[in-house]
Amino acid sequence: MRNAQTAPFARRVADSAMRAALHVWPEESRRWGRALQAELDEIESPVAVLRWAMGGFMVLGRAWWNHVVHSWRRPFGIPAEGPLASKVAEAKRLPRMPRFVTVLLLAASVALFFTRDFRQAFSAGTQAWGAGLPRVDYDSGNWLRAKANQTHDPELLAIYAITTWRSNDERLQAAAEAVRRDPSLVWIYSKVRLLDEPCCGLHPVSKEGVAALEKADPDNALPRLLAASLIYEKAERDWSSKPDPRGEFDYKRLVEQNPEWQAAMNYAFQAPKFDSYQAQAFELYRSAARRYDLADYPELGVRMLRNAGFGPGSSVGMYSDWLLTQGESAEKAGKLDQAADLYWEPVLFAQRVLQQDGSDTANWWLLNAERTSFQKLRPLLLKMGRKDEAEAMAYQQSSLQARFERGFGNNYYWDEYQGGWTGLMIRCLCAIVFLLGAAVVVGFGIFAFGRWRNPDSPQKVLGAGAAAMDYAPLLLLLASGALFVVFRPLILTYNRYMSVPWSSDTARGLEFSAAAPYGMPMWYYGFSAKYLNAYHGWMVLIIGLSVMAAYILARGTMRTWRDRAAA
Amino acid sequence: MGIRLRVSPQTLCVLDALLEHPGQWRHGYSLSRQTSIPSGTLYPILMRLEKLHWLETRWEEPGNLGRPARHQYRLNGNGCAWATQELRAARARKFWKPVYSEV
Repeated sequence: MRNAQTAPFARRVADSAMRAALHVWPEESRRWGRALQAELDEIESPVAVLRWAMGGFMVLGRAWWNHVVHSWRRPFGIPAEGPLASKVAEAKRLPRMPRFVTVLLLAASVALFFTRDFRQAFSAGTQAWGAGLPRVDYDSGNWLRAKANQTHDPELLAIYAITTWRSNDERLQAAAEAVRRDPSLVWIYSKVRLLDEPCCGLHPVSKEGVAALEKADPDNALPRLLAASLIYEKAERDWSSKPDPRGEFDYKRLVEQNPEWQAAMNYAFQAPKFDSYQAQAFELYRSAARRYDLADYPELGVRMLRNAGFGPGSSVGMYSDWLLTQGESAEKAGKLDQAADLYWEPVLFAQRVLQQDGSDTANWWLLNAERTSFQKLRPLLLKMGRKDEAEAMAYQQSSLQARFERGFGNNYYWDEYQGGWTGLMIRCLCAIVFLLGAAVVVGFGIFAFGRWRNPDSPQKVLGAGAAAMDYAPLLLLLASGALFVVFRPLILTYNRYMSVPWSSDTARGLEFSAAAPYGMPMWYYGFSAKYLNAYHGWMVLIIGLSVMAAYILARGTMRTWRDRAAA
Repeated sequence: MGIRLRVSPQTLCVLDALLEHPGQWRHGYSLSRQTSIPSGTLYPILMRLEKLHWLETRWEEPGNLGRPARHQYRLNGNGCAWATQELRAARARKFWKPVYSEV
């Protein structure tokens, strides 16, 4: 029996403790807590009453443990007791996936996100949706600039100058600062492209930079070719802004007659070497990537290493034609040796350049120059009685012809042959991962914060939320895994090429592995050029709205008829 | 049932106490005093026995004013049969020695 006089303090403490415990006792086993509390009045000894209450707390601990363990078997948003709990099994509008399965699936997806490869895949995929081509984003650009300022490292400044999308002034200042700190980096002027109007698919280089490069590397043909290109590009821009009614060939003739252009091209064709500076760009990026762990900024690598094409192609083509014309004149004048020398010049130049620059654009321009030269040179050699040389040339000529017939596959890595489908898949998987992630968040929100909703009422939101909680985590894991698997070979290829010495093949491998996520199949480009415009957009919108209106009208009419028939 | 009871010496003690007067309702504190098992051990045993449907529980009639209704326990028919069998088996393998009663 209750004896409040024996130990009022101990009993009060035990009573209060048990009452407090009952407040936090899990609903499904709370009656056991009440049972424990009800016994307190029967205990006489103060020590025993406290021990009883302590035992009650141990039971509370067990009850909570069981509550937590069992709660993992229930889906998210479903309480242990109440109307929702009893309806889980048969209600379509409630999630049925146990929460431990949901959590495991989500944890696996999150774990995947913590791997660098996946992050890079996701980053590339999201960027590809935005820009189409790799572009150094705001965060990595800022990071690079801040890091360069902090470390005063000329290599980082050089990478920033080449890769940033900011203004011309910013690019040139960064380049100048990098070269001032390390004069051997002067070659970056051949890679720092300005935001001015592009010509021949490439943005121009800076005139001052080219001048500095000519001075620093006089034996190299590239600076002279870039200088000649600047003259050509200016003439083309002038002609485009105010087209000469006499036609395109007149501005080309003007360029041909420009003594500066002639001098630059002559110097380039006679120069003892051609260095595209791709190896230096590769080593620069590799060195910085190792030191600063740039692997999380793959777009920097893509911008640095992507072989953007052979800029001076038009000038090379024009100068080769000019040399052949000079050779023809010499041949007509009976100066056969001089004519042969002039015909040989484009061939020798092309071979010198192609040892260094294996890009498709360079191949097209230079092999074309070589092929055209052979067409002149072979008959001349036969005329000169050098039959053996002419026969050897015939073999080369036919192999070149075959090469042209096979095609060069401009944008080889971007189209449907390899990179395009990979790029499309990465883009789509990235979008799917994003949408499923959003579905999980929305589904969780509906059931975690919407328990008050009555499951008996037919609410589409609950149905969608239930579907999201049941299927989205699994699909998210599958999509994330697929994205990882699709991207993994690319990153392995990239890492492999980054670990071996530079060679002309490296550019192709790196370009493919780094740029493939940004590619799209050729049909897409055809489709987008044909149909993705304002006219077709309006057409689709109007047709879509019309179909919706027709459907709503038909449904209303059907209901009216049905109601009348029922009446 | 999906749940298997771990027949510990304490559980056997509780079963033994409940079998002393099989049809009689018992209170938690009296069981605790009889078996010397503290509440932190006794109640989980009772909870598991109830979950196995071998223990009947009820709240006593509120006859005594000023005191909350107490929870009462007794073994049902299945529970009695199972408990008798378990106690016999435990005794046979000398796992448990009865203190209060012989079954």
